[in-house]
Amino acid sequence: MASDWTYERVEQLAPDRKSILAARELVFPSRWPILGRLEQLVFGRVQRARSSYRVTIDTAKPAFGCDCPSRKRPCKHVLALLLMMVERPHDLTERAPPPWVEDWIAKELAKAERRSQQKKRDDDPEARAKAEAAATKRAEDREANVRAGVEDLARFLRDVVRQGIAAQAEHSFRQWDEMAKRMIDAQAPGLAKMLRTLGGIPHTGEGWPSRFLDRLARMHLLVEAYRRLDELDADVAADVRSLVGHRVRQEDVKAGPKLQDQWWVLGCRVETSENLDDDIWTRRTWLYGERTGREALVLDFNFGGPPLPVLVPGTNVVLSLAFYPGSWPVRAVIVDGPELVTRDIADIAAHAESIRDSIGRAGDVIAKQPWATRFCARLSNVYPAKSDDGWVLRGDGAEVPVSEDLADVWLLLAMSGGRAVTVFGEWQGDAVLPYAVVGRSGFAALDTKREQMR
Amino acid sequence: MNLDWDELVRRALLGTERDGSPVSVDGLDASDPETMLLSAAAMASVFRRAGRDVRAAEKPTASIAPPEDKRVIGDRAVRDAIDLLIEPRYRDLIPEWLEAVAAADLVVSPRLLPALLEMGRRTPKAAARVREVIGHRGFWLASLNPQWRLVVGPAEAKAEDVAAQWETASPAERTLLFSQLRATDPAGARERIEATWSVEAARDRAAYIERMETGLSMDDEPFLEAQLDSKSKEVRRAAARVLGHLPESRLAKRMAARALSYVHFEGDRLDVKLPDAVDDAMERDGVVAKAAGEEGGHRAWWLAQICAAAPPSAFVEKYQRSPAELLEVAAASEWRRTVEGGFVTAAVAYRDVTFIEALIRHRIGLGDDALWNHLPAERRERLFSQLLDAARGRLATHRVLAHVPKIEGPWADELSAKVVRAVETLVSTEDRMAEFQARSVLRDVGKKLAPDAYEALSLVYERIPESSYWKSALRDGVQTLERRAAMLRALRED
Repeated sequence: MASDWTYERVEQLAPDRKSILAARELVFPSRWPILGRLEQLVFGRVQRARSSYRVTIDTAKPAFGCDCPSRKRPCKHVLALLLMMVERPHDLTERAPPPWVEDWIAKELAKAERRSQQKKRDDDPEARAKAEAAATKRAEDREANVRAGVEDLARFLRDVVRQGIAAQAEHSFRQWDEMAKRMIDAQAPGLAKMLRTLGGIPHTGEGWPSRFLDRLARMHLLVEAYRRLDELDADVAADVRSLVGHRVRQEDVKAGPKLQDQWWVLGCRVETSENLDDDIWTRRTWLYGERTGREALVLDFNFGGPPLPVLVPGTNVVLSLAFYPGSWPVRAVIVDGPELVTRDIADIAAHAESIRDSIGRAGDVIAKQPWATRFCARLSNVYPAKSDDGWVLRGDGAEVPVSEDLADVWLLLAMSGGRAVTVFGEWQGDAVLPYAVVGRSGFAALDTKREQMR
Repeated sequence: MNLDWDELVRRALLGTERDGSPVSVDGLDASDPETMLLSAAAMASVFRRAGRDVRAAEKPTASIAPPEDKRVIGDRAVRDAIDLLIEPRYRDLIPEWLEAVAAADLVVSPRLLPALLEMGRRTPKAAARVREVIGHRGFWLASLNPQWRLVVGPAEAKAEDVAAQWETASPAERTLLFSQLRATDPAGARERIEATWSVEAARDRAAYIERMETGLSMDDEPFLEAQLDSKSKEVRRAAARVLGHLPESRLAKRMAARALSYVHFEGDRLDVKLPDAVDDAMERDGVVAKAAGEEGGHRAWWLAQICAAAPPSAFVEKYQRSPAELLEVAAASEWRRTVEGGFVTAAVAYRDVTFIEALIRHRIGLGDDALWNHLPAERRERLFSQLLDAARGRLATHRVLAHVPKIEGPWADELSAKVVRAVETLVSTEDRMAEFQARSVLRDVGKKLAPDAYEALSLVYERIPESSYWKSALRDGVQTLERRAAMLRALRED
């Protein structure tokens, strides 16, 4: 229904801030030679210089159609028509839709039909059996390959401690790089990544031996776990496989059990790959399910630039999620949704805890999944303060440093005004990396995406 | 052994090859010392990380921002502000928005504080406006960041502060302090340097004299006139230059007398005599007889110097004619460049606003914008308004509108209405005007019109046919105006 739409909802749909700004330029009746609505359909033809595009929107589903060449969806023309609908409803007169609207509706139906046909084909038993057999053979070969690689790695780790890790400070990175390449050949990219990180630690300055041994030992634990894969619980085995680098397919995850809940989007952060070779950008979004009390982490990837945001921090959405297997299942993929729910942002603060409890919770996770390094932090009643080493968050007699990775501590300070606020973020070792803050002045996402204010 | 982490690190550094006794841990079984060490470390690592405790807070030093007295802007206004701060082409609209917030007695939402303080730091001119809207929390936040101290700190030095620093300052610092002091206490500043004048070096004396332009008044005249007798050429020149800003000074009167003796307005004609020589009195008053390295007489050049140093009001008084009339007569003469050029320099130096206005009218169409800068803002608006009234036809209108960039907005309703009508005249035909920077002038118009003029301007816009060049030229201006009107409405309504 058109009346369900608000500015916030349109803004949430926009792939980035630039699209909304570009859409604004089109929110003038003079730009729309054709403009109208009929029941849940809204349609128009937008004219700009010499080009014109036809836009159709089904506000109930919702579904959008525009014949412009832009690859961004929804495009600025769709956003502009939505804004017209929200801000200038009197300009949309009820009228019979032009023929191209009917064409679009027909095309949408055809698309849905094709999708169900494909599904029927997937359900054909004979075709499926053949495909499965081939997959099993591939998996067996791969297992053998990885096992061989892991044995080599085990030998390598023993050599390192036999020599003594003090020698690492003089050694070049080459042996680590070569071992990492060996792991890639063994189809264990996760191990390769770990080796590269590990190999760099001796050059990170004061205190490196302790950090190095910590990671080295964890790698050893992983190697030993992999050797005993058959003896492990299914959950732990899934963790081990995934860490070694066995990729779980998103479709398989989506096909598994789903969890529907009303989730608060706590915050997100865009990171670039540590590896200079690839240009992968990752968006990490933490969610909290109100009814289930579950935490969830949604990851989106993109090459060459930040992934498009689907979830807006500070919003409450109905989502159906499917979780990746493991003993601490937080990584999830969206199966259905999001559907925005209008809520008072102050309610989000109820789902936070004290610093001690949060650390304790992270400790529980480590006990289950010893390789986990990043945990969701939901801290209530903390206030930012200056200490000798930098900024800290204080609450309930406890104190934690604010991670140096936080690009802009000032927005955090501005939103808090020195008073107690709720902070959502991640534990990074001893420090907290805040993603968002909520208090009496409202909600603010702290990461600096290009679309947000700097 | 127990799982002491430091011990394990020590052993790992050493290496099992060199270590005498292998690590042994109860319940841990391994085939070789390396595996034993690694497994022990793995267990210890998990214990450490899982059992981490948090450090206790030190004495809580509460630094809390005081609560605001004023209301905070609404959500719609916050979104507007974010748009303005992100898009480079909307930066010019920020001062108007800030002023509107201040005028409505509101403060900005905390979310905007870091961006606005940064803006205040990078653009010192905007700092005053930023200060007005950041509220108590803004000042609190700025106090935590040394880079923002300048934004919220005092703009001018207080007289007491300057006095305190004077004694210990170096000569270079003193000239800076002198400038600051001249802004608030010109007489006190002069008295300070008069007291130590005899021991100042010529170079420093000249520097002080130049800085006396700030806060200049007839009170300074006796001192400066005395400096015309200084032994240092630098000092004499500086004094003559500064006196050339005081129309009532003795120097100005002497120059006026000279100019009047050489330049005569006889009815419609201009009669010009050239000086025969530069006598001592003229040199004392700053007339340069010979440019460095040149030979021969330059009688026309001496006259030009005299005209440039004589207050134009002297001519107005003697001949009882308006500046416009005088300029018309001069324009018809072969001496136009010397005389009119002199009038331009002198009018600016003596801040003769009436004459400057007359010059602008007289020279309109010459593309000479600089004179506008020397009019105070209200007179600029008034002059612009009068020129618009007088313009007949597209060509004349276009010449006047070309000066829009010099007239600071936002404009009053009456002027805005005139500009809209002028724009209508402009866009009423098909052809473009090559030399006219239509798009940028019209965009400027959109930034400066009163927001209430939106209806009128958009009507003009609607009526332009799609195919016309003017349609695209005016579009930015209309949209900018619409955005401004919407933003200011949002501040009033929320």
